[in-house]
Amino acid sequence: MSLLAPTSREPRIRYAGDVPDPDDALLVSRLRAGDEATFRDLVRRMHRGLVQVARSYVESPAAAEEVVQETWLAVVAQIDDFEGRSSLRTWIGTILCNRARTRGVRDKRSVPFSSLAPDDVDPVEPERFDARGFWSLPPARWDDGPENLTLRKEAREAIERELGTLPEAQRTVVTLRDLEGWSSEEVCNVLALSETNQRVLLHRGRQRLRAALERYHSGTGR
Amino acid sequence: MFACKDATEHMTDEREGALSGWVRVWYRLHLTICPHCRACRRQLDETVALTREIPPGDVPEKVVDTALAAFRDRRPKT
Repeated sequence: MSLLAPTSREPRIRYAGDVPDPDDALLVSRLRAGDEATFRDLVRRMHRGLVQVARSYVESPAAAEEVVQETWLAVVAQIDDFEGRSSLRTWIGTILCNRARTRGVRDKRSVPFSSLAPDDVDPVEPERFDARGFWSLPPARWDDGPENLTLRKEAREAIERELGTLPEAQRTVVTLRDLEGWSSEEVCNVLALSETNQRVLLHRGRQRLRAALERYHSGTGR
Repeated sequence: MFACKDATEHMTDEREGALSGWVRVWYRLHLTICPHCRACRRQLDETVALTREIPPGDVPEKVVDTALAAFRDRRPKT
């Protein structure tokens, strides 16, 4: 298959609300006019999220980088075909996903979004509740959170370390929603997830990050 | 009766505006009377706020250079 072969250009599932960002029209017109600074900025802004999505489907970080690279070449080749029926982010994400899935099939890698792992239950430790489901070990108050810049940086690093240990599907959803600022509709469309499953993955991921931050605050963070 | 464990399971639903009907009523009532669940929700809010501050890493120059080279060679449709 050619590197620049056309791919499916619109998401398979469409949720209301996945509409072009008001800035998309200007962005796309600049790209079509050959504005290099705009393109470079787009590549830099989207890289982390796209690599994480690709990582969900392919065998290695190197393969994920390759898929992202191929995606940018496809975006360049197809930008005139963008019709604005979804956001630009969804359109680019969908191109990436189609390529990553194809690569994943070739690598015989299972797709983490096809089902939710049944043993991955709500991450608030069950022993913190009594038999009736009320707190026996309640969370401490953090007041206003760390205001000192150094402490804030340490807290961020504790979260970042935990992020790296999340199951792939949770890490992808948390990365796109909370680090990259994608909307739930964009995430659902690109990953072909239902709204409910997207929320479950987001919740489990966020609660695990919260637990890591709680350990950091209590001085037992790793 | 809505227990603390139930409330913690709905905290993201609340942030996402996905609570509806009686679940929303019970959830809000529970949060009103339970300081521990309010503390848990504040922890979650702080976690999300800090997560959003994590800076993006560097993009490999090879990725940028290859993409830019293709962009320069692009032939716009006429």
